[in-house]
Amino acid sequence: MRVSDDGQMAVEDHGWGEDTNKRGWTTLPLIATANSILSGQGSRAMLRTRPGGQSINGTAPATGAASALVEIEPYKPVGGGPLDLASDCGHAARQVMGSGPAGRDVAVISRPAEPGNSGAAGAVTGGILGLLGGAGIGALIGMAGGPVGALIGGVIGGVAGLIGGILAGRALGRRPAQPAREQYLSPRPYHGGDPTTPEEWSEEVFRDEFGAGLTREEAYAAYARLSPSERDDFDRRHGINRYATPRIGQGLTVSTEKDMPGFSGGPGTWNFHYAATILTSGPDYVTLENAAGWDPTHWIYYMYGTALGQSFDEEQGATGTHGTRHTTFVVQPESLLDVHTTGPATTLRTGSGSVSLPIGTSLKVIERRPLPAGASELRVRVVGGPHDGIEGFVPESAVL
Amino acid sequence: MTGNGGTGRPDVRTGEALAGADGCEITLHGRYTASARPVRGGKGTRPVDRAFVLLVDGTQVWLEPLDQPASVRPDAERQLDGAAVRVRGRAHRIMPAVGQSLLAPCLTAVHDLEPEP
Repeated sequence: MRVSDDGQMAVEDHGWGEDTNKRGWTTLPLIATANSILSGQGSRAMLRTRPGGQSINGTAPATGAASALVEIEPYKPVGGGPLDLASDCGHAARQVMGSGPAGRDVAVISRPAEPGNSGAAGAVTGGILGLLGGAGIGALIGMAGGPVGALIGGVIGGVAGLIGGILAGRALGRRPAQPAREQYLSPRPYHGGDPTTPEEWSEEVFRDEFGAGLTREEAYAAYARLSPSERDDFDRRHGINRYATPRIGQGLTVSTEKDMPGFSGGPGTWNFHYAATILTSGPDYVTLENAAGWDPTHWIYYMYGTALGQSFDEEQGATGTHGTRHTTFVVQPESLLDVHTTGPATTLRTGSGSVSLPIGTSLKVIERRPLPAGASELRVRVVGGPHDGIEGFVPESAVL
Repeated sequence: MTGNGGTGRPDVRTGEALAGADGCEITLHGRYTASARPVRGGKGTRPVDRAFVLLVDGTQVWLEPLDQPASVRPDAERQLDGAAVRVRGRAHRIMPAVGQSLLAPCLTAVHDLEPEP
């Protein structure tokens, strides 16, 4: 059995495979939280207390706090009967996320907060370069007045270069602080083939970082050239691979990177895998998964975590079925980016002030920013109406 | 890849040649091998109703994408299991599956499957 660090979730652990892990446990409040989200997204699966199920008691691994959990079962809110999911990982995950049969999905890029940079290092470099350059140029100009002129010209030029260099270097080196934020890659339909949907997102994120003009091969090569520590930094700054951590109603996909330099695989290599998240608590998350060729009722629960070696990326990579290069993204339905205001007068905070939006105003989510208090705000663009096209921020709680 | 035997289609006998003919109509030569559908993390046994052509270099070329109904091969084909065959169709370096699939080459629009003379 796997138990979340905070003792709020537990699932069977008979390994990753068809029909292996059918039993799970959590708390009533977490069931309610999950159902609120899954229902809102039109998920094929919701959670309930399993009739006749077995409650379990224990202590949280991280804190030792007492924990009492009820056994759960997934059920279909529409149609009844035992939960069945498509015999394909991506289609199954999309059923749980509520993507809809023809809906597109987006990959989620989670950027961590970054402290600002005053530009001090740039100022020092710029100052030194300015001093040397200015002194040289001043001396050359001053040579017309003889050695004394050259000396005076050099001093004046050096001082001017120093000041100019400091200011220019500081300006170039300055970077404002960035809040943690969730951004989205292009909406794409789900497909296998060559390239697959997740491979298209990989190409997109590598191009975003290394150059929009790069070919697919060049973009992949640029990532492959990074040292292990540089790759880890890249992954952390984008919330991909082992840093890909989903919320309830989001999913994960691991893409086998057959076109990345250094890739090798065997006859048992698969193109990708998807899973959908139904529970989260603390640093851990529980997914519902099915896979190509599995019976529709042979879905499984699986618990992953954010600790080293526990992530979806690491666990799926360790199965040996994604070759030596793979990329993991958090994914979600594109439809989650289409929201509308729910209050009579929602304030849209813009760069130059604010705009009051009437109830039902359609908005396209561009970015989601978690706030310290646990809430979030959304950077949105107004769609239609008198404020069409205006961008600004609204509290996430003010939209649906 | 070797000559086309007057058919206008390249004769393909290796994985490298198949990759070079990606998207083209080819005549594939190898050993017919009946197989159950490969399933990642699968449980239990499955019917042996799929097939691949095993090339001389060990490459397995599946007959139709494994998530398509056409990949379930006719019972009559089973008699070719283990036999050297030639088969025509469109070559794919990577199986053009709808969803999750093996990362493997594939032949689509399979026709004229017959034992090598």
